[in-house]
Amino acid sequence: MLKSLAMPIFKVLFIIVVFMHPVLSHSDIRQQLTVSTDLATEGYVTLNWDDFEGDEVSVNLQVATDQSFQTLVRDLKLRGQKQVHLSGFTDGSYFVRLVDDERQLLTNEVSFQVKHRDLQMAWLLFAVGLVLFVLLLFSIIRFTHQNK
Amino acid sequence: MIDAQIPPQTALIILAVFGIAWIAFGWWLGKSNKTIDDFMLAGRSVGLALASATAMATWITSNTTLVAPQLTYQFGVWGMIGYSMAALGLIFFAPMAKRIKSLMPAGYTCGDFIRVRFGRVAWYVFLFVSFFYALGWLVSLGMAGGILLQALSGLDYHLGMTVILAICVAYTLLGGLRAVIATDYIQTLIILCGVLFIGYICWRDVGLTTIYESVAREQPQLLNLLFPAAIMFLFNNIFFGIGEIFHSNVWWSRAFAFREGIGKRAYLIAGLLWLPIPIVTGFIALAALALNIYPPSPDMVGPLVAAKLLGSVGAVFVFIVVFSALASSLDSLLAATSDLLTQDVYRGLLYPQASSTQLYKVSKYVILGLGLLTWLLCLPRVATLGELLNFTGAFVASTIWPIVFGLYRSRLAGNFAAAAMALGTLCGLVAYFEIGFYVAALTSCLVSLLICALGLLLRDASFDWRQLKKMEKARDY
Repeated sequence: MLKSLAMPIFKVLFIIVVFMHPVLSHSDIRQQLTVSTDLATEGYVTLNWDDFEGDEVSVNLQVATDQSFQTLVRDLKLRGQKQVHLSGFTDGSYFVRLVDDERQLLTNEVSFQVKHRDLQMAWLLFAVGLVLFVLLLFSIIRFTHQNK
Repeated sequence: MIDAQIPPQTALIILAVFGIAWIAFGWWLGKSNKTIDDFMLAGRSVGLALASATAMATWITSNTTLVAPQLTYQFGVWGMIGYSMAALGLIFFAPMAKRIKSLMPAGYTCGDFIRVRFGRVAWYVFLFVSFFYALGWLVSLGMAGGILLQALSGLDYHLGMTVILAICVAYTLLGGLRAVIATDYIQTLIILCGVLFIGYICWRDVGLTTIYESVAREQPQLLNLLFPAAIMFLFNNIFFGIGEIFHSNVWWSRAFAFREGIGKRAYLIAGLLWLPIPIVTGFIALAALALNIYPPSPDMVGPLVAAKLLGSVGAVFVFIVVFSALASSLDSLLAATSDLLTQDVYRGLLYPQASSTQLYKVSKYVILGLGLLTWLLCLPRVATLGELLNFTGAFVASTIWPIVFGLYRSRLAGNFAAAAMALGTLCGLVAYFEIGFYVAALTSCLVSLLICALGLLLRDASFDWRQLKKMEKARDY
């Protein structure tokens, strides 16, 4: 009886080992990647991910403008860090993922949008600032002169 | 890629060597402190060279070496230029330093001025603003120490922050303002030489073309002069810098401490010398991507780039420069805030009959207390340096117009000055949370001006300037 059960048991074990192996050997597969904001109004974001095994594990952070990652705008090789701050993005939608050196996916994919603040509002604030500044400069010069 | 350039043990040894040197120097200088005037105001006899050096060194903070690169990394060219415009605070304060010294020859703190000029209500509002700002700045400096050591040596943030705070508290405690100013002079030389050297190496080894191409390719927005948030940031940072200097006892105490006729020239020289420093430190941040440096946090970009350029030996050099910048500001802030709390709160509110001996003792306890409070607030590391600092912009920018009108115009009444500071701060904070950190100071300053203008229109306080000259202070043991 034992002999007759051995083969089926062996087959089951074989299936488990073969098909579960990627999960067993990559206990860190699909680490959680998170982005600091969905909408960046200044063109910068901070990305965080979980620790991978060992400080010296090398990962590649890819940022693309399309979901299929055909058009990469950043392809960074990182080691020894689980956070990165990226800046200087222009308006648009961006998709991010972490892959290993064989381009195997290590994390979930995240996305964020960059929409810079209204330029007219910016110029309005600039104008307000300039007027205030000139007023202050004029006041200090005039008051100093009057008090001599 | 993050590589620790200095072994943690080396970082601790450097800290220990500098710490012992600074503390011993502070102790030696502190031996000549006999009165509260000596401890708080270095005997009111500081000459031009030391005066210019201390003004410049105090304004070159860890923020100049860490936040200027951060803001350049985030806002590009405007970030760099905007930060350097903080030099205008020193330059605009120059004539005011002279006015302050002439109005209050026996004065100790800016709180004294506000109390006598505007009355108690305005004084309470001002103390709140001033203390909140001082704490924000202290925390940013403490955090910077931890961040610096972590970036350069991998040393735990909490350990680095603790050690640096402890050293600065120790030598300020021993030497008072005399030690602060003397160490500032040495630190100025280190900072100037160090920053210029690092900037030169960056230009020589990386090259302007390489930097430009990598930024244009990967961070194109940083080169865009029509970057909306950066345009908003420019004047906000100017008013933040002006507000910091106009209201803070760090600068008023120096105006009192400098010899007659020195203040105006010293602040002018300091401002002009300071102006290019953030441009140099900001510039090196643009080289990050060309050097394959991707900082985990934007406030780490400066030391990471400098350490990469200079290697292990250079990292030590960078560490010494930034530590000097840190220490030169931390000690000033500890001393000045202690002055404010001792004179204005302890003596002004709690124990008006306190003698000089008591005040001398209390000021030391206050320095210790401030150091401990700063340490506690630095522990959680709640924000980046830029965000934390600009949060205080909403507070300090509200004081600009009350102080300018208060020094030169007798018409502005105390209740309007108080309202200007309170409402300016409130509106600045609303703007901070609703729009962003780069509009807080501008909003605060604008609202404050409107209320001051209303006050000048509606009422004439006719303040008698002689009241400031008559201020009496306990001076004798």
